[in-house]
Amino acid sequence: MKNWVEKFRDEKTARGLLKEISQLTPKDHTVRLMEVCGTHTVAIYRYGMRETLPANVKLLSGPGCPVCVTGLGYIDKAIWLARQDDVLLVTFGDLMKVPGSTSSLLKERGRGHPIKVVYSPIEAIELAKANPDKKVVILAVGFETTIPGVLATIRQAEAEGLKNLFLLVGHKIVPPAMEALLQDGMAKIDGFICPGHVSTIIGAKAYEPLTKKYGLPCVVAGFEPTDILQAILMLLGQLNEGQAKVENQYQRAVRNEGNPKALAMIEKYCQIIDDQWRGIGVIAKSGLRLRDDFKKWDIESVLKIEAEPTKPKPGCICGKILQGLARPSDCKLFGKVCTPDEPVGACMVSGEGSCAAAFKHTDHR
Amino acid sequence: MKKITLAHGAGGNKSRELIEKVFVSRFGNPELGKLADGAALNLAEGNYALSTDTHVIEPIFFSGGDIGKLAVCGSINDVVVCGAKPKWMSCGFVLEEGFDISELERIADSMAEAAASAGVKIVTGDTKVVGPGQADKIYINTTAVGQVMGKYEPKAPAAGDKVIVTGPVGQHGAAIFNDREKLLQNSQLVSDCASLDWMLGLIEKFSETIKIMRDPTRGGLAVVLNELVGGSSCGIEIVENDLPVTEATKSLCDLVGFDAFYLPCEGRAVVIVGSDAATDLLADLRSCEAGKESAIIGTVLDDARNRVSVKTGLGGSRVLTGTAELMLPRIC
Repeated sequence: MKNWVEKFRDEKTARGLLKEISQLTPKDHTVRLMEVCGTHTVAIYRYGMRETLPANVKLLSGPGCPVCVTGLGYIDKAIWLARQDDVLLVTFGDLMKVPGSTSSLLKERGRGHPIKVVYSPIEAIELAKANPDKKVVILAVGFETTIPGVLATIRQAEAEGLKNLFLLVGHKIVPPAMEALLQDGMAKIDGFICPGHVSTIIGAKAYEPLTKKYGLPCVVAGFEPTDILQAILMLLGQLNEGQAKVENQYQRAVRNEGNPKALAMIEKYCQIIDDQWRGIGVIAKSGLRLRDDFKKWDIESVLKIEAEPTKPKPGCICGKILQGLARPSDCKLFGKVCTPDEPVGACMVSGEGSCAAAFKHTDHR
Repeated sequence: MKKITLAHGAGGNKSRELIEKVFVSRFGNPELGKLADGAALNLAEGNYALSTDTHVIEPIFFSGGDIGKLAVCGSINDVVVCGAKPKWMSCGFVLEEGFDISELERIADSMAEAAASAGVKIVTGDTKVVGPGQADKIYINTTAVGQVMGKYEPKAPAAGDKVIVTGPVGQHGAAIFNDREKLLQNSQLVSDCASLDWMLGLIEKFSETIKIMRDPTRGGLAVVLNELVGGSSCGIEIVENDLPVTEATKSLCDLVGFDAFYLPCEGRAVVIVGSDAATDLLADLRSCEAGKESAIIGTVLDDARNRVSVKTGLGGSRVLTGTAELMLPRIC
């Protein structure tokens, strides 16, 4: 049986969409659309989509790679934790290579500090049981997509009476970051391709305040090439009609109201705070931390983390790239001193980062 | 259950007993049976290829093979893509104290089977034992020697040459990752770990038109293609739709964010062949059971910058870099 996903990669469908996109693209000015999510960025490079689009449709990569926007200070705290003899760190794989101020988790593991890479945070439950003399700490970064899985893990830990499982919380939420880009006004965005995975949790309606307040079309999109092309077509359609509404291209996964169970869990466990985004700065009401009732799961309420003072990387323009103000190739470090093997900035680290995607899939020699 | 102890590596009676019971009994041939310090080989006149590889893998038993089969096939394949018929092999073991002898026997069984089916004799070897934690269970080094066939010698690729791959790519990387992370149960992810000795007859037949061959192990197809054109005046254009990838590999890549171009293979060859001979070679490869999914996947182009690009199904293009990827699953 053919993989069912193949139909969303169908060339004939894609060519038809490209033709329609070309018909709806204005001849006299450029339309600037931002794909917010890193997985969209990767798909766009992976399928060579930029060069198939009309010259007047410009795609900007947004701040939607959770690893890329995780603050330098957070990474430094994680590195400090990795060095503690009574701590076993549990992390998603793409956080391993992110450079902190002077080290990275990958380097720390090389020095013999145990760090376990997991695919799902729930694996930490078994690790905590198997290592009763250790504090097992999940590096809880990520957006709305990942947060419920982490919260479900501590709910499970509570149910099983585990006392040695903790989170280092760096969770962030996406819509406030999108709004920050609009308030700033510098990126000159005409429409958003909204993140599909995040939207499975928060629902398409989460973007309604943005469309109303800023008069900007938003389309929630899936991750296959025809999904993204159809979303671009829908955005162009709205722009041509002078409309600004939320449309949901990814109906096979995203509901208007999102996932009420996951949202209720986030509401129960988390409070909203102003949070630091790497390269961008503090964005109001953009982070989630555990509520006071659940602080016992927060490693920072158990241990005083004495991370080294953060040292930002000179010359790195990840911040501008994350805001759609610059392309990876605009950075002097790109492809020279900053490569996936020796990343300087976070955008080069995660496979979902704009710089890594650009380095991997385009000619920069 | 009997375990490996430091005495098994100390060179005395325990060493000899282990070597005889586990290895000589399985690999049995007159050269090895002498248990001399080395094997004397009777070489005919000609050119020879020699290749060595050290194998470390976690898990040591995986879907589609184990470290023993991998170690034997690995060096066989390196010799085969040098255009030579592998005949002799050495093997060196580093064993961790406490390793189960029954597991070592299983591994030796599969080494014996892989070597015998490729007509290769394991003629000399070495066994060392290190303390617990100083090695991870078992490491195996193999070295293979073989005589170069026909008039084969590697030649620089030229514009117009075709790029052939002998089967679906990335299966080994996908299967190992899935086993290691215990991700998908009942998946059809099976390593392609196998000997390439089935190609020998065709290499001889096409020895004048085959330009160069490689087996895309670490770094996968992407890294090998870059190495094949590096330093030449050529680049390569791959047609993504022509690349054989199994549905299971594709699904794993979709799930964890891998790119099949960068996943290692352990039983495939990449062959660059003159365009005139490409369709004949392809037909012959496909007529072999092990090569029935071979495909022409791209063409060599003039390009001073040695780019390896992929034409995507949408008509766009992307570049494959020579950077091997650490297999770290993405966050979401």
